[in-house]
This record gives sequence, C-alpha cells and structure tokens, in this order.
Amino acid sequence: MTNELLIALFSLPFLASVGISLLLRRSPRTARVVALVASGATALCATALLPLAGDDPTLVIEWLPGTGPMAFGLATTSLYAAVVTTWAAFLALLGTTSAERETPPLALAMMLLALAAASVAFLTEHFLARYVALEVVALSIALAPLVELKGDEGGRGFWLVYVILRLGDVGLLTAILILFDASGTLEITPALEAAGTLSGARLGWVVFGLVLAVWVKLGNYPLHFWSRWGRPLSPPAHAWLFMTVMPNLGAYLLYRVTPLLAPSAAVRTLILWLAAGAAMVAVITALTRRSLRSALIYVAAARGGLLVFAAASGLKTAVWLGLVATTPLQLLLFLAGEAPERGTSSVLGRAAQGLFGLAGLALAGVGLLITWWARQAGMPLDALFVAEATVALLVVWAVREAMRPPAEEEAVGSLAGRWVAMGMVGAAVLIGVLGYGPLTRRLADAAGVEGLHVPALTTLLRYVAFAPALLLTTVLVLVTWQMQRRSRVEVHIPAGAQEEPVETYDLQEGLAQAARALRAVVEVGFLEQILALSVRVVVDGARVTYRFVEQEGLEGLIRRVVQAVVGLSEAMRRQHTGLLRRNLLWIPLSLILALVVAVTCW
Amino acid sequence: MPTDTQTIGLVTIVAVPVAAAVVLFLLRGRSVRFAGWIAGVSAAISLGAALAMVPALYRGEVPTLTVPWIPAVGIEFDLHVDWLTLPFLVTEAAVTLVAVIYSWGYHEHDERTGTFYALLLLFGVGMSGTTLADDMVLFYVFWELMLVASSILILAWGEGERRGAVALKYFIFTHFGSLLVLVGLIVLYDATGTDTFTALRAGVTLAPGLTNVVIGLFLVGFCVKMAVFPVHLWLPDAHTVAPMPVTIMLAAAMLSMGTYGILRFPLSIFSRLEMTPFALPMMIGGVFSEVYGALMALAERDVKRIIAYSSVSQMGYILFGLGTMTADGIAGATLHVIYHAIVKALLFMGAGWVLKSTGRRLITELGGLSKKMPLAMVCTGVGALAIAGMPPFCIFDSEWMIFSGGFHTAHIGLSVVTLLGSLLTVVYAVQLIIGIFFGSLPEGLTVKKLNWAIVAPTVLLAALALIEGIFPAMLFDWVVHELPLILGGRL
Repeated sequence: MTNELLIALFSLPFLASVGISLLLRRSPRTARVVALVASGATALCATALLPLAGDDPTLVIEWLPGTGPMAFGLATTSLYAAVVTTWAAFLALLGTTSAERETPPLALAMMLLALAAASVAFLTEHFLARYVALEVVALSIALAPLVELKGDEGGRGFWLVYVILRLGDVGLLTAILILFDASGTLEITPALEAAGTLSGARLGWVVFGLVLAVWVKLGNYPLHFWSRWGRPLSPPAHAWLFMTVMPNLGAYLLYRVTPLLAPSAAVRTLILWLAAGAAMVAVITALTRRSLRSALIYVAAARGGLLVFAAASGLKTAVWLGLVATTPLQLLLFLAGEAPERGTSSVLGRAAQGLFGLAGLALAGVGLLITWWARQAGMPLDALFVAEATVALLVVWAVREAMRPPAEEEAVGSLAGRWVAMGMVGAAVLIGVLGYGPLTRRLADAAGVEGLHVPALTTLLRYVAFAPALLLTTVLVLVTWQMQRRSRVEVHIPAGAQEEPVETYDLQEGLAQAARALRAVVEVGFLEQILALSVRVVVDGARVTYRFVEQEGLEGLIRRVVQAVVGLSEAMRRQHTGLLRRNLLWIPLSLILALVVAVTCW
Repeated sequence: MPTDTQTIGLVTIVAVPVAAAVVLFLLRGRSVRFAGWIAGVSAAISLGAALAMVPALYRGEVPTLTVPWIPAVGIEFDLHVDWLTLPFLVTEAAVTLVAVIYSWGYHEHDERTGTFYALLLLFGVGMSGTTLADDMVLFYVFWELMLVASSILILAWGEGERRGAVALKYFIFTHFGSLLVLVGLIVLYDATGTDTFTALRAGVTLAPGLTNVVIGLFLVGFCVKMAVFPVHLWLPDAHTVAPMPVTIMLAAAMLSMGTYGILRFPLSIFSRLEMTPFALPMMIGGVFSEVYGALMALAERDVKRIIAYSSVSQMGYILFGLGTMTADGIAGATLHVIYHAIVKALLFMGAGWVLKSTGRRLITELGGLSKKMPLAMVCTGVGALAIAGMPPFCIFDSEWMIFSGGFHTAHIGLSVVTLLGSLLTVVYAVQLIIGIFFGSLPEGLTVKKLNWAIVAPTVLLAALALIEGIFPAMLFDWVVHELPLILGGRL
C-alpha cells in the first residue's frame, strides 16, 4: 500500500502535466479541471501516507552507477512538509483559477511537474535524487514566465530565474560532493553525519554551499530577485510556484542541515547577522511596496531570513515548525489579499480584511516565537535585536496592509473557489493560532523531533513588553505612520509610490557585454594579435632569411664560388690548352708545384 | 584469441568506407544521385562492425589484426580494439553516419558531391583508424589523414570568402599539435625500440627529465586537437566556416581524438607517479578553458560560433576530469566525450535546421521561432538544457562524475570554481535558445520547410540525449572496463 501511494503521489501530477502539455494546450477549461483533480488527488495521497509514517517503503531506484540505490523514506517531518506543500498547490489552484478566468494550460502543466518533483525531493533519502528533483522544480518555475509572458519579457524571466536557481543548486552540489567524498554514500543522514570528520576548510565549503543553496531557494534578500518574476504571472503560478514550493524545499533543506550551520561561534554569528539583516531589509522593502504581490515577495524573503536565523541558533525543530506553520499563512495572505471584496465595507470585505490581518499577525507570531526561542538559547543579543525589530516591522506591515484597500490591479473577479479555499485555510489558521501551544507540542511529538518549550501567551506578552527592540520598533514605526497619515506628508512609508518594473537591471545583457569586452581584449586584442605577430615574424623572418641566405647569402656564396671555380677553370683551360708552347710550359710548372707541395708536406 | 570474424570486422571498419570513397572518387560527377546512399551505407556498415566488437570484449578477447607493412623497419599494419578504444570508435563511427545522413538534406548537390561524400568518409576513416591503430606510425598516418581530409573539406566547401585563410589556419594550428605528438612518438620509439602501444603499455623507462618532456609534448599536442584555451584559436573559425556536416564531425568526433590521445599515450604509458606533476596544470587548464569558452560563447552573436566556443568550454571539463587522475574523473571525462558528441551534434543540427530554414545565423536577426518551428525548438532546447548539465539529460551524468573526481582530490577550491563555472554554461545555453526561439519575430523572417534528412537525425539525437541520461548503465560499464588500462590500473 505504501509503495502504491508513493507511486501515485509522484506519477499523478507528472502524468497530468504531460497530458496537459501534449493534449490540452488549447483547452484551458479542461486543463484547469485536470490540474485541480490531479493536485487534489496528490494532496490526498500525501495525507493518506501520514498514518504510514515510519514505514520502510521498498520503492528503490537505481540510476547512476556508483551512486547507490535511491530509496524513499517516510519520515514524519518530510511527510508533513509534503502534505502542506501539496495541499497548498490544490488550494492555490482552487482559490485563484476559475472557468471564467483562464490560466495558461502550460503554466498549469509546469505547476503539476513541479508538484511531482517536489514530492520526490521531500520524500527521498538520497542526495542525488533530491538534487535532480530540485533541478526539475527549478526548471518548472523558470519556464512559467516563458509560457505566460509575451515578447522579450518571457525570455528574460526564464533566463534570470533559471540562472539564479541554478546558482543555488551549484551551492548544494558543492556540499553534496564534499559529503559524498567524506562518507562514500549519498544517503542523506549518514552523509550529513560524516561532516563531523571533515577538515576545517572542507567543512567551510560545505557550510558555504548549503547557505548559498538555502538562501536562493528561500528567496532571501538579496537573492530574492528570481521570485520577483512571479508578480506578472497568473495567480496560481505566483502563489504556489514562486511563493510556496521552492521556498518550502529550501526550508526543508535548511531543517535537514541545521546542525552543520554553526561549525564555530564566528560562523554562527556571521550567519545570524546575515539572516537577521536580510530579513530586516526585506520587511522594510515590503513596507514601501504599493503592490501587494510585490510586498508578499519581500514578506516571504523576511520569513526565509527568520528561518535561517532559527537554524543558525540551532533551533532545528523551529525551522520545521516554521515551514509547516507559515505555508498556510502565506497562502492565506495571497488569497485574502487579492480578494476584491477586501476594499469594501461588506461582510465579505471585512472577512477578507480580518483573514488577511490574522494571517499577517500569525506570521509575525511565528517570528516572535523564533526570536523568543533564540533568546532562550542564549544567542548574541546584537543579532537578536535586529531579528526582533524585523518581527516588529512585520506586525506593522500586517496591520497597515490589512487596513489598506487593494490596488486596482490586484482586484480580480470574485471566485467561489477563492472563498472555499480561504475558508479552509482560514479555519486551519484560526485553530492553529488559538491552540498554538498544544498544536506545536502535538506536531513535535508526532514528528518525533526534539521538543521545544512553548511559552504561554502571558509569557509571550511579557517578552514583547520587555524586549526593547520589539517594543521600540513597533512604537516608533506606528507613531511615524500615524503622524505621516495625519500630516499627509509621505516621509518614511510612501503609500502611493509607483511600482518600478520587474527588472531594473538587465543582468543578461550586462554579462554578455562584459564577455564581449573580454573577447575584444583577449581573442581579438591579445591572442589574435599574438598569433598575427607570430605569423608576421615567421613570414618576415622567412623572407629575410630567403633574401640573405637563399638569394644573397648562401645562393650568392654558391654563385661566387661557382663563378670563381668557373673562372679558375677558364683561366686554367686557357693556360694549358691552345698553343703548344703554353702546354709545354704547363708541364714543368705543374711538376715544380707538385714538388713544392711534396716538400712542404714532408 | 582473435577469430576470423573479428579480423573481418576490424577490416570492415576501415576498409568499407575507404572502398566507398575510392568508388566515389572514381565515379565523380556520375555518382551525384547515389553518392549519399553509398556513403550512408558504408558508414552504417562501419558502425555495425564497430558495435560487433562488443561481445568479444565482454568475453575478454582483444580483436587484433597484424599485417606486415614496411618489414625493413619493422613497421606493421596493427589494428586492435580494447575497452579504451571502444567508446571512441563507436562515437566516431556513429557521428560519421549521422553527419552523412544530415548531408543528404543539407548539402547542395552538384558535380562535386561524390568527392564531398568521399572526403567525409575519409575524414571518418582517419578518426577510426587513429583509434584502432596499435602502431605509432599507423597512428600518425591516420591522424594526418584526418587532418588532410577535413582541411580539404573546409577549403573546398567552406562558407564565405575567408575559407582559404581559415583552412590554412586550421591546418597550421592542428599540424603544429601533430608535430609535437610526432616528436613525442619518435622519442618514445628511440628510447624503447618498439612502436606498438601494447608493448609500450608494459612499461617505459626514460630519464626523468625526458619523461617530463615527452609527457609535456603529448599533452600540448593533444590539447591543440582538443582546442583547449589558449590553443583553441583554430576552432571557432573552422567550425563556423566548415559546412554543417563537417562542423558536426569536427565538433562531435574530432575533438575527442585529443582526449583519446591523452588517454592512450601519457595516461596509459606512464605511471601515476610520473603523471602527478601534470595533474594540477591539467586541472587549472581545464578550468580556464571551461570558463573562458563559456564567456566567449556569451559574447558571440553568431549561432555557429556560440556553439563552437561551447566546445572550448566543454573540452575544459574533460581536461579537468583527466587532470584529477581519479577513477571518477577519468571515467567522467570519457563519458563526457560520448555525451558531448551527442549533444554537440544535436546543437549543430538544430542550428543548421534554423540556419537552413531562415538563411540567418546571427542571434540578433533571429527570434520568435517557437511557433513556426516547434520541433526544432524542442530539439535545440533539449540540446541546450543538456549542455547546461540539466538532469536527467546525459551530460549531467558525465559532469557528475567529473565533479565527483575533482572533489576526490586535494584541490577542492579548483573543483568549486569548476562548479561555479558551469553556471556560465547555463547562461549562454539559455541565451541561445531564447535568442533563437523566443521574443518577437524579426521583420521579414520567413521559414523554409526542410526535408526529413535534417529533421530525423536531429529528433533522434534529442531522444538519445534523454534516453542516455536516464539509462546510462551500459556506457558506464564500457567506461569502467577501460579504467584498468589507465595509469597501470592504479586509479
């Protein structure tokens, strides 16, 4: 049964993706139904596997010789990650697509392909299989702009997204290969354990590679600009492909490698500062965005920064809990934020506003828990202050955004599916918020992860009241915001600022220009010149040699020698031929010469 | 013990294409209509004969043919197939066949068509013979045949006014490499008194200084053939000017001869201890070539030159793999030769498809062809993703082995740079596809429909790039068998 469910989990979305790509490219309505059914069935398969957690599936694939069998594991942590991600796919499709509003079928196909690959990535216990699955997810995400956007934009989006995501994979591959070299296996758990045997330099490369991989996949600032390409795409592509699947895969990778991220106090401090700083910059940027979609990208980046902060603090369980908890929160932010009723005073409008505020504050609450745990773990206060200020800014953003009517471009038509999805996710979030303590403990117990002390609400409130960074930032920003509103002078948070285009710098063209400059210098200017000079030297040298050696030198010498010999011969001929008197004279002269030579030699 | 069947097979690999070439030369203008078929059938027979050697190798036999050639100086016509020969031999024969079939659709027929196909076959024979030769003199004769045939093809059928200059440049550069190899061979012959590789593999004792000189000569000489930076300058021009079938053979098969030379001579003849001083320079040279070739591909706007520079980059991977002197690195380098042949032929065929259909070759003059040429887009897209190392396409498998070999050495920083350099491959490969097939369609760009001889082999190679990537076990097995022949089996 376990194997069958696993096969269904992987193959259903894959087959649906192939079917849509080959047969339903011109039938968006049918493609939408197929995508909904396939993603729903996949989510059910993942959920059905939960009771089987801990079983040992026999599904094993042999691929590259020498890399060992690729097995799949049913660890509870990976199953929960797969469950929330697959349900997010279904709900994103349900809540953002409709028969009236067509989503490009190829975009749906990319989503389903990414869904299949993501399930493989979550459940495999083999580094190579995980890497391959991540590459497929990266390609699916990168292809989305290509199939949705017209003109040159699609190509630029594909190029940038794919190159940046591959940068993360380069980091991951570096770490995998070093761990493979040390352990001789690509099974994730023993390979990670072998990190303890690595030298300082090799461990440094592993940490660098993993941090790079996680940074890119989570969309952390400043490597978030691949996720910005989700903004002009269809809602399901943005909500799930760009905001959920890759960040979740990054978060799960972070969870697995958390013990390696602090090989020394200095590295730990560096990562803590980088994570907290990146999260803070991201949330400040989110505050300055007018477009909700744009702001959500930066909020997701802030969430990623806080998760890395948790990992660097050694809070492995917090990373996993963060993944499971923030996935529905981000989806709810997207669904409620784009609900056209949000700007109205109707019941639905207030409900959408409330759900948005709930999700935003709950997201800040997760951040608050992370900083509380980090404080309990004795992390350095300087980096912690930055993280706490980030959480405070997240609160400000959530409150401000919940009260703001949506921009016109975001107001898409009302969908029944959206309210069904929002209702399901909203109910789950509400239950989670009200019972966060028992739920956290239950999840930790079910997953068999190291339990974390969950503070009571009063403890948390006391923490908020006495944490200077939290309090100060919240008060300062709220006061500034209110003053700004009353004075109608846009100082710190311009509410009506125009959005910049998605891409401000053409990295592709910049790289090409740099390469062309290098070519001009090296190929044409340097190597080509060396070659031309060498040829010139050889050819000119040959000409000079020819002139001096062949024509005037050697040839001239030979000519002169020949002339001399001929002249001498001529003279001699003249002397001993012709007149008899001269001939007779030649004989005694020759005899005398011979005698002289003989006497000299003797 | 070689059997008669094996002897016939060995003779067939070389003799059938030679006989076909002779027939085509003799018939000249009269063979225009069936020259392609004669060449295709003979190339197919040659490939079949090469594949027929596989069972014998699995039985542990070494098919050999020895015929006295110049008895006065002890030179023999020695051909043999071992595990080191096999991957290269099959690649060359297969590429020759594919190039001939592609020519059916690409080559414009005229009274010289017979000669064109004859020279293509001789080019192929030059490569097969070089790989099969078990005698230094024979090796060099075939090596030069390869050069002469390809030079004439570029000179006579090259595109553009500069074909004479390019053919000369190609000849001078690669001949310079050949001369270095020749000096190395003469020194070896002088020192050992034997000219067979089998005997040389038993062990060569030279003065330490002389050993380094000989290894250096071989490495530089073969690197010229591989077109590794900075001795690559012949390649972009030759690949650009040569007619597309010749370009396919140059890029997909002839570059591999440099790798074969390095494996057959320095790495097979000398011990690991003697080769160790050259490991780091080879790895550094490989990284330079990988990064530099990719940067140049990024700078180029001519589709053929982009793919040509990509070869410089890919040869860098191979040199890096060989330089690791590990089992993974060397196996990966050999696999990369085969997979690079598949993918590079695919890319050039895709490019040829576009060039022939549109009459344009500058990427700035192309674009938006995805709707007009969807099949060409899929095939070329597969080639681009494969060259970018995207799993499960075949080149990922060999790159994995090469990188893995790099991390087995002490030079971990170099291995990381190699990995980071692979990102540049992604950059130019994606740029190539986007530039040709996406964006807006330039004004006046029309697409001509092409015949099946161009389409079919391109689709076949695209499928092969995927199939080989998913089912790599057979080729891995071939390559693993070759490892005991390298560095005395002490990998």
